[in-house]
Amino acid sequence: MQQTPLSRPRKALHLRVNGHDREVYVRDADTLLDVLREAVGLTGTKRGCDLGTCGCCAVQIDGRPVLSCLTLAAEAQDAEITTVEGLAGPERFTPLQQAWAEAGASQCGFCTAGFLMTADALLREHPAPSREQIKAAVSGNLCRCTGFIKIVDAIARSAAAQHALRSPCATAAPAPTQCA
Amino acid sequence: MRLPDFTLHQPRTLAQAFAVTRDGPFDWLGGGTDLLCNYKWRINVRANVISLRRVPELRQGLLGAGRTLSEVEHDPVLRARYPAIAQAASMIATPLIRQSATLGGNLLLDTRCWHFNQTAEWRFAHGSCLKAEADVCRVLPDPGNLCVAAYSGDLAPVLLAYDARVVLAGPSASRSLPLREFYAADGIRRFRDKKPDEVLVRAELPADAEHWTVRYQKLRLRQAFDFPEGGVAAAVRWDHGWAADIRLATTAYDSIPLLHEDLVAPHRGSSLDDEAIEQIAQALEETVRPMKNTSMSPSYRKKMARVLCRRALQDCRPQGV
Repeated sequence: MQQTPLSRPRKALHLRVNGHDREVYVRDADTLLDVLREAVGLTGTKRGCDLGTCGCCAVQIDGRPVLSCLTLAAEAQDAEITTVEGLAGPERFTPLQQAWAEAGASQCGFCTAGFLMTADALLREHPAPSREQIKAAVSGNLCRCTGFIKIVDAIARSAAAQHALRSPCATAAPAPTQCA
Repeated sequence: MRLPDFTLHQPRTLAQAFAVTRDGPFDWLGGGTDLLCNYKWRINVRANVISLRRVPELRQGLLGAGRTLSEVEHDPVLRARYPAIAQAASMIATPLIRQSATLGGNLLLDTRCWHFNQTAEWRFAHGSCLKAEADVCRVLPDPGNLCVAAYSGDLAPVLLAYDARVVLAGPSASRSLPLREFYAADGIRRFRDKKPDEVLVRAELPADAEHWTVRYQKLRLRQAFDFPEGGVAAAVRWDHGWAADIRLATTAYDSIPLLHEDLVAPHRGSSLDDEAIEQIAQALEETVRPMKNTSMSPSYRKKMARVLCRRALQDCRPQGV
């Protein structure tokens, strides 16, 4: 099947990605995934099924997790786009990423970016989700390595760590029993 | 997988949208979660795509066509007053898809078939079908020039059970019609008289909708992702313990969502006891005619119509009965 190269510019498009303004030249038919990976150069967002059925390409648009493979780039103009590269700085993990590493929630890692973007949006809306809420929230993301348990563990662990930080007893360490 | 070239139009009003329909063959774009998959597979690609995302008229009202399924699922008014609609929305695809997919897109969902929703390579190797590039049906030897692809929307049966209406807007006029008169039993034509340049603006519920108890049951392999292999919505209007009125609607069993008035008519005014429910469920199993064009076998889907119907009607009964 003939593929249309992204290098064939059509229209200038202004995107705001991870807090930075980017000017890219794209076809009307280019998806946000195409543009993020190949025009903006952010390859953390992965191309999996490319049909919305794996969640690997999830990014956030105005804080909502969406599938970049089924979003036209032109439709994301003027929105605030966040990719996995925008979650944390190059030298520091977010608490969610830290929990991910500690729980062993990544194996091959291909699905991780999509899961992180979905989980990050969940934790902003529900800072203390139940395991059922976590499972429901990530039910559009597929992982073929972990069996999902460690992924759910990581999100729960991150929520618990954030809750502990917010707790008034957090400053009372090293006497955590006061909170029991 | 690169999308084929097309010209994207992004009107900000319905009037602007209607104006660009004159530019040549086009598709309306709602959330794009179904259309863009078809385009990636080179299925019925048009030269123009008209996005309706920026048209505010479509986001007005409880059931505005441009509202995302996620918004419908979490709408506090829908959850409190018409929970079956929010529940059905929550069962569609995945949370990620529901962030983009729209109520209008689900009502207008293209029919699906094992022989149609495939890559271009698959279709050309297999011989394609009359819904795409060929003139033969791969499901039935002689379908009478009708396409038997399955209608797989989850909201339509629930809105049929509520006896909803749909509002369409066109370049010259708007009109409202009952949802039960909207669809045509042909997987290609799909609608009785909706013109290509008409836009679904919203669905509307009748004034007595809150007096109905509506429940939806969906058959699928996975609790996320899957289109319905069968779906049954039941609605009962109770009057002092009696089922004064009953409606039953199905999806995924035909190329059209169907209202089965004849099956429930004998039981109007009954107490809708276990025996009545079993009679309706058995009649539904005998009525539905699933084709061999989805993942599950037609015989299993047919048997499950009875189970789904029984569960939906039992759920409609007041708690404790």
